[in-house]
Order: sequence, then C-alpha cells, then structure tokens
Amino acid sequence: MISIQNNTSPINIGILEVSSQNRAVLSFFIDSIGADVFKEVNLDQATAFIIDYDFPGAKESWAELQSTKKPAIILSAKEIEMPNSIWVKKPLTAKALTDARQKIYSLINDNLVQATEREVSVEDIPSSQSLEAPELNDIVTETTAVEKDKVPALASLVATSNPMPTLNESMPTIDLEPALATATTGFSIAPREAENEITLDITQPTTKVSTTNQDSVPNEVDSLLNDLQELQAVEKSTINKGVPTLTPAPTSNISNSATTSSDLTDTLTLEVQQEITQPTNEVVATETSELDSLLNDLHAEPQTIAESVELAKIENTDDHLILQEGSHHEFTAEDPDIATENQSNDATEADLFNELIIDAPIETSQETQANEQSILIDDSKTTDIVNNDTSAEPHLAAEITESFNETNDGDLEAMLNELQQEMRPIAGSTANSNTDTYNADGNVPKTYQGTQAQERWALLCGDKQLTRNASDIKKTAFILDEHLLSSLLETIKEGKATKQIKRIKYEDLLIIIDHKTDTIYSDLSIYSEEYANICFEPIKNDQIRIHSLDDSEIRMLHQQIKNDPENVYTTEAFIWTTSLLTSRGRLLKNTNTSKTVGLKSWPNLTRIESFPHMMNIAAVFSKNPGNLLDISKWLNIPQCYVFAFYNAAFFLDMIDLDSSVVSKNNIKRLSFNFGSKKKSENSSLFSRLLNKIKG
Amino acid sequence: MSLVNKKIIFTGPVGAGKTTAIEIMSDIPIISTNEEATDMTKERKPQTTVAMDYGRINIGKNEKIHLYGTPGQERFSFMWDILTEGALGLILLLDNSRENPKQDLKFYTQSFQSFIDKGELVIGITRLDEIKSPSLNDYRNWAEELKLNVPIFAVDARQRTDISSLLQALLYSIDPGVAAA
Repeated sequence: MISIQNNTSPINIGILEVSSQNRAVLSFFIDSIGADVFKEVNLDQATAFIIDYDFPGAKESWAELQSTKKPAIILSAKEIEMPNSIWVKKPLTAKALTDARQKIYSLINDNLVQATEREVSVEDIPSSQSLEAPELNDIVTETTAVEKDKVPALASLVATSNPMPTLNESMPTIDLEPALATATTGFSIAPREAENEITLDITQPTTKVSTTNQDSVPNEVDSLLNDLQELQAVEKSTINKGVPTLTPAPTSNISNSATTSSDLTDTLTLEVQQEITQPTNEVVATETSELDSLLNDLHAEPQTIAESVELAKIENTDDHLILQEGSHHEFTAEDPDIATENQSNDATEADLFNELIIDAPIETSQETQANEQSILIDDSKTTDIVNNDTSAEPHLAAEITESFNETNDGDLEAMLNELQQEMRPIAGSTANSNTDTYNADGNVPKTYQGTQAQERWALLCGDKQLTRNASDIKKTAFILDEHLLSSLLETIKEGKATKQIKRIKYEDLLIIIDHKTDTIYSDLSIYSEEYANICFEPIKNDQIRIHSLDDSEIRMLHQQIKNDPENVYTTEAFIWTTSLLTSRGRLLKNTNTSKTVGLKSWPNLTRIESFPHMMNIAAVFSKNPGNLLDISKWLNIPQCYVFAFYNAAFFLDMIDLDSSVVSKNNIKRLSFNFGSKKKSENSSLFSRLLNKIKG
Repeated sequence: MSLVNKKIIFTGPVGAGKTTAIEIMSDIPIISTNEEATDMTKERKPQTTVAMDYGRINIGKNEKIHLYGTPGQERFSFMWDILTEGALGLILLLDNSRENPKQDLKFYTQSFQSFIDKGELVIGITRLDEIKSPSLNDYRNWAEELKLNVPIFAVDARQRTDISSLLQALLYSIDPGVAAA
C-alpha cells in the first residue's frame, strides 16, 4: 500500500544488498545529518529501498521487489536508468543522498496517482504496442531475461572493480570519512568477512555451454566468461528472432558493440518492417550498451604490450598480419581453433574478450564453427607482436629486419639494433641491457650457446658420456683440502663469524669476501679458463694467503669493485660455480652414493650458473629424495649432472643428508613412479609447455 | 575435438610484478582489470588490478595454459579461492622493497594454504637485485619456519627468463620426471 508521504518527514527506507563500505557510509549518514532524510526500517515496512546495483545479487533482489511498486535509490558507479528508481552515483555523498529524497517523494506520489488512475480505467490502456509488434515483446522479454539471468554474475565481478568510496570534497557539511575508514579497516583486518558478504553469483546454469574435457578448467571465473558468451549468443538470437522477416545480418555486424545496432538497420530489406526494427534496435542498443560497459570494466586497459612494442602501425597483408592503428588490431590466419565472428575493422577490445571466451573450454557446435571459419585469429601472430622476447620468433625478427632494411634509415637501424639486443637472450652480464639491475653486482650468470655451452658444461660437470659405478666413483673422488674451494669455504665461515672482510690470495688470484653484502669479488672472472684451472687442479696450500682487511683496505676494495663491477658475485653464485669447477662431475671423497639424500632448500637457480637438467634434479632431490646413482637413472640423464648438482648444493649447505629437516618440518614429499612407462596424464602437455617456455 | 585447458595462478602483494609476469609469458595481449588506485596502493603505482589479469600460453591447437593474476589487495581475497580452484600451481611473487616481506610471505602462504596443501607453489622475489636485505637466505629461513620447501628464486618480472624459470620449477615440482623433448 502506497501512501503519500509528507516530504518533510524522513522516508522509511529499506536497505537491500549493499557493500560493507557503502553500508557504513549510509549508516553514518542516517545516524547523523541524514536522520531527517531517511529512516532505516525493515523491508516490509519500507516506503522505498536503497540498493547497491553493483553488488552481487542486487539485481535479482530488485527484480523481486519491483512488484511492490515501491521506488528505489539505486547506487552504482555507472548511470542506471530504471523505472521507478533514482540513480545515485557512487562514491556516495551526503548531498546526493539528500537530493535523492526529493526525487523519491516525487516517485512515491507519482506511483500513487498512477495506481489511482489504473483503478479508474484499466480498459483504457492501449494495446496497440503488443498487438502490432509481437516480436518486440519477445525481444523485450528475452532482454529482461538476459539482464536478470546473465548480467548479475558478470556484474558481481565488475562490482569488485569499483574503487573504495571517496568523499565528495564539495560537501564540507558532513564528514563521512570515519565511516569509510571503519569500512576499510574492516576489510583489511578481516578479509574473510568480505568473502562472506560478497558472494559471486556463480551458480547460473550454463545449459548452452558444455566442456569438452573433464580436465578443463572448472572454475567460476570461466563460468562468468561463459555467461558473457551466452549473453552474446542470446543477444544474437534476440535480434534474429525479433526480426524474423529481415535479411539476416552478417554475424560480424551483430557481435557485440552498440554500433552494430545501427549497422543492422542497413541490412533491412523490407521497409514495411521499419516500425519494428527501430524499437528493436533500441532494445538491442540498450542491451549492448550495458554489455559494452561491463566489458570495458572487465578489461580497462588490455593490449598494453602491443602498444608498448609500438609495432601497431606495421601492416603486412601478404602475411595475413594486419595491424590496425593504436590498440585496434585484427589478424587473419590459419588457426581454426580460435575464431571470432567480428569482421569489422573497428575491432574493439571486446574482440579480445571474444577470443578469451571462445578459447574457454567450450565445445562449439560444428555449425557455429563453420560460420566462424571466415575470420580466424592466429595467436602465434599475436605472440609475435606482444612478446618482447622474440628470440623464439625468428619470422617476426625477419619481418622487422626486412621492413627496416627497406627503409635504409640510420635511425631505424639503430632501433633495430636495440630491438635485437632486447630479443637476444641474456648472455652474460655484459649483454644485459638492464645494466642498473644486474651489471653492478654481476648477479646474472653468464650463459653460453652451442659448442661453447657444451665446453663450459664439460668444465662444470665433467664428461657427460661417462657413467661410473661405485668403484670408479671411489677412484676418481676428489679431496676437498687439496683445492681452493676448501680455503674459500673456510674463509667465508670465518669472515661471518668474525664479521670481517677477508681476502684470499693465491698466486695471481685475489678473492675478497664481504660477509656484509654477501658478495665476493675476484680479480679473475669465474667464467675464465684460468679460474677453472685453479679450481680443478690441486693447489699448493703453502701459497694460500688469507688476510682480514682494515678500513683503508676496505676503501681500496670499494674502489676496486667500482672499477671492476662485473667480477663481483653473490656468495651463492661464487660458491656454486667454484664447487662445480672443482668437482667437475666427480664426487667428494667418502661420499656415500647409496644413501638417500634430499634438498633442504632450492638454490637460486635464476642467479647461478646453469647447466642441463638442474631444474629437474633440484625437483627430484626436493620432492623425491633418492641416492645419487638412482636419481640419474630415474631422470634418464647423464650421471655427471646429478653429481655436479649434488656437489654444488652440498657446499652451499643445501643438501639434507639424513632427511632430518624434512622429517622435522613435515615437509610434504611426493613419490614418483619414474620407471613406469605409463606417463602421468600431464607429462606430454608439460613437456610441450616446457619446450615452449624455454624458448 | 577436445581442448586441454590448465591454469596457473600468479599471486602476491600490490606491485610485486604479477601483471608484468603474465604479460611477459602470455601469447596474447593480456586482459587486465586495472583501476585507478584509490587507497595506499597509489603510493606504489597509479593503477592496480581489481579483479584479475588474464594471459595465455598456447601450446598447440588445442592446448592452452591460462595464466591468471589475482588482485593484490587483501580486500579482493574473495577472488583468490575462486581463481585457484583447479589450478596446476601457484606462483607467489613477493616484493623485496616492501616494508615487511616476511609478513607478506606468511600472509599469502596462509591465505592459499588449502591450495598449497595439495598443489605446488613456487616463490619469486622481485627487487632483490636492488634491495639486498632481506636476503634470499632470509626468505629460505622464513619458508622453513612455515614448513615450506619450495623453490624460491630472485626474479625480475620484466625478464622472461626469470619468469620462465619459475614456471619450469613449478612444472618440475609437479612432475620431476617430465622431460623436455
């Protein structure tokens, strides 16, 4: 029952779905200066409602309450035009809420007048619309259904993208900040509460979507994306269904943007249907506008990489690679797996979203696929543009080179050189363009290519062809005390204990160990052949000189490092390489090869010198400890790499010799059936993925 | 024809490099939900991810690895469980220049505890090359305190090789026997 309100009294307001921040703001408002504006009551006593339209589930609640004919204040970051409601923009301000009161009064009174009129002459309601344009009714009905069923799930995601409410500075009469602060604090301290309050509508039936593989990603986010696809599908069917006598528009014209609605008009062949098509377009435009709005929210700034690469102006139709200006680009290629219906040159960001949806684990019908064959997007082309690291994409590099060569422009060549420099994998610290990050302390290990790499790995790990039995291992074992490594480890330990900077001198080699910065300076590069020889060959112990630096020497050291930054290494990287060069695939004397050993912690594999298989050796030691002989068999890799890894990790104190750390910490271990011919279901996929990401 | 879809999640605090890491590995232009930062995030960067980042690695015609980045702020934590469901693994990026990285490590590993219990985690520490303290050894000790024996690498999210190493470590942790042909 609606009663005319006295517009000086507070409106009895029922607050529906509202986020905790906005709830706090509203409560603060109603409890303070808004006491004369609104009075919060139970829903059944409310004269009007306040609802946060961006909040999950809000739309459904509002749809239910519309039957009450009571007006609502709709809070939303974006403008919402709904009958019997007033839109109040978020973030909330006291002024906006106060102004809303007057409008609500008007709506309440209008509703009363209309109700009275309906009672008087129900028969007078013109029926021409429904009789003359049944298709339009269908469209409207479907559109409503879409909004109700599909949009909430997506909108719930969008709701999360709203920034925290901020106060309107133009309203100095009220300070909502305390309430806001309370809300914010609430979120920070108890994020799980937010989880309880904000629930994504993820249970929407997706009857039109079926996954083709049980392994496909069964997550709700994808469900949201599926919802969006359904929305688009329904949208298309709405258009087709709603205008049955029209020549079907190309699917590309009705894909998803508001502009396509006007394009649709151009396809009309029967003028007699003009009356129908115009309102149809209005309906579609409204719907697509909302869709676009959601899409815009979902990916506010995609394609930033493509823009940053600044290749967008290159156009090469011969290679089916068409790049439009700015962030709009379109590709034609051969991957039948990825298809889009959009043929427009005005490809928008929504196209990307289409691609995302199409590539979700969705089985599309053959008919649909056939329709989609016309334009295909080749992700590999996209990759070329997107990826700065195009070392694995020689064709793009060739294209760029060719393009630049044609211009024969010095500036462009310089740019090309820069580009190629960036494309080149890091080959030692000097090749790294990011000098500020790495070169100063030589953290990036040197890497090698081709035969150089083979030679270096042989220096680090020994002969990979050699498989030793226990007896051979014993014979070739090395004695730590005979090598520089022994003095190095001892001095590092001593430096830490005494908190002194230590210097080791051996023949022409000078090593300075700074425990404070956890770095080691060597006047010989650890990548040099001389250093490799010094490490491998037994040393003359009487020629080792160890010294603690005084202040003046430390100053000199700093100057030395400044002049020779490439020979400064982290302690870990230095010990790692020195250990490898020392052992060269041999084991330390008295190493028990039948004892199960594990890994206490992973070496910093991104900042130490690499050799083949060290990642999976680390994983096995960590996850499935075994003895040194078994591990190379399990992994089917040369024994020397396992021994090398073991040695280096051992001297870094990362080897768990008796599984004590593992047992103590209950660290989970996995058991792998290495010998089995039956590979795990993901093995093949992982193998291809590894190949891909290793580039 | 069946599709194979797997997903890997990138998480970590604001500014740790999640979006950049996904960008550098993705075969498609990433889809981001960036908004102007309105809270203390603004002090670290002008825009921040509010729902998720999305990128993808295409392996073959029908095999795709979806890369999802979670929003960093705690208040979006309700997205985290949703995103991690069914994931192959979790890559946690921690920013060494933040005030309390230890707390970050603790917070994120606890927040994703249910996933970590059954899935694989790798940790990348960004800005460790610039900010030396805490050191990687500190992170290892903290991880040990939390009973985590996981790969922890210094990474630069802008360097593909670094992020690739994290992904490799993740895959080998899942199946050390997997061999790249």
